[in-house]
Formats: sequence, C-alpha cells, structure tokens
Amino acid sequence: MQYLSETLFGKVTKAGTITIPKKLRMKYHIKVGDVVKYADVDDGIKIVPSELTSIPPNIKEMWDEANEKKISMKEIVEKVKKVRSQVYNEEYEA
Amino acid sequence: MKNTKLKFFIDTTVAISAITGRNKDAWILLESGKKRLILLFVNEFVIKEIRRTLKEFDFSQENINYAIEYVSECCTVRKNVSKAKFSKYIIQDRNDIPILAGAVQESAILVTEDNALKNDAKKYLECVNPSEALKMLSI
Repeated sequence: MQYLSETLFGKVTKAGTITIPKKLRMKYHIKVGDVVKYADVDDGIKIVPSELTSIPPNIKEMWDEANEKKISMKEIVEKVKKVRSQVYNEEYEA
Repeated sequence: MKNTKLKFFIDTTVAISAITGRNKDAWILLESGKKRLILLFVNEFVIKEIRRTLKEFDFSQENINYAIEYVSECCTVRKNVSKAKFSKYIIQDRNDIPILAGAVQESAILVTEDNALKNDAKKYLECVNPSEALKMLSI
C-alpha cells in the first residue's frame, strides 16, 4: 500500500460535517452519494469506504436502464398499485 | 451499526426503487439486510409483485430473475397471510392489506415509498420511508 506522504487537514463545520480531501476521495474511489463508515479506534476516528455501496453488475445494468427509461418514483408507486390490484385478485379472489 | 432488534418489512415500492437505483437509501437498506446488519422481511405476495412490476417496466427476464434472487438474499421471505385475518384492517385500499398484515404478523416496521399506504398503516404499526428507516439505524 502506497500512503500519501503529506498530512491533510479538514475543518469541522457548525453542522459537524467535514470534507474528505480530494486526494483521499480519489485514492479510495469515494463518489458523491457514497456511504462511509466511521470506526471509533484508539487514536481517533477511522473513515472507511463502506462496502454497502458496492453494486453487483446485473443491478448496475438495471440502474442504468432505469436511468435511460427515466423511471420516476411516482411511476414506480403507480405501477405497483396497478400490479397490486392484479396480484390481490389472483392470490385472494380466484 | 448492527441493530438486530429492529425488524423491517419491505414493501414492493422499496424493493423496486432499490433495484432500479431510484432511491439510494432503499438500496442501502437492502444491502444492510443482505449483510445481516438488520432483519428484513417480505412475503410471497411482494415477490410476485416485484417480478410483475419489473416485467411491466420491460426489464430482461435474466435481470428480473437476478433481482428476485437478490431480494431473497437480503430478506426472509414469508408465506402470505391468510385472507381470514384481513377483516381487522380498515384502510383505503384493500389491496394493500397483504403487505400491512405481513408486517403486523412479523411485528416489523413497514417501509414503503407509498405515502398513502404509510398514512393508512400508521393505525396498525410503525411505518416509515427508506430514509427514515436508515435514520433509525444511524446508517
């Protein structure tokens, strides 16, 4: 593992947020919206890129396809409502 | 982050929003279930709805099968609640009762993207959206 030779600093804001320096974000592939994990260790706080953000290829493909199709949350709720009516009839009224 | 006391019942809207990447919080919730950081439940009714809804959105059969397998890894899949137990639930849309009853039977918190169901379900159990669920877990 090649460590960065320089020491980087961050300032805590009023809301308690800090900015992860760009060099570290790039090194650890941390992107906007990613989740990081805070671990309480002996000499401070360790920030670890969370494994929760790894996406299987098939699911990634579906995310991309949903982007292309511009599927919205409203559309999902409406579509589920329509399907729910059919499934209810099949499961409970047949 | 581990909180095995909290149990969540995942509505179809949440599973679909996670699988299609529409709501990243829904995705994190499912992943947390997969890693057994929390306990997630669905029932066969939800699984059938996920399959049918993804088909309606024209996803390939291969990806639909993968998605179902994925959700089944993240959540415990329960049998459907029998219709005999539905009479105690009085809500606007009776079609939502299999979801509501499934969550009540599991003594779980219902997670949904559907605000109408969320408001209705509050009479019977705690009901939140994915973001609120993550806040409960401090994720």
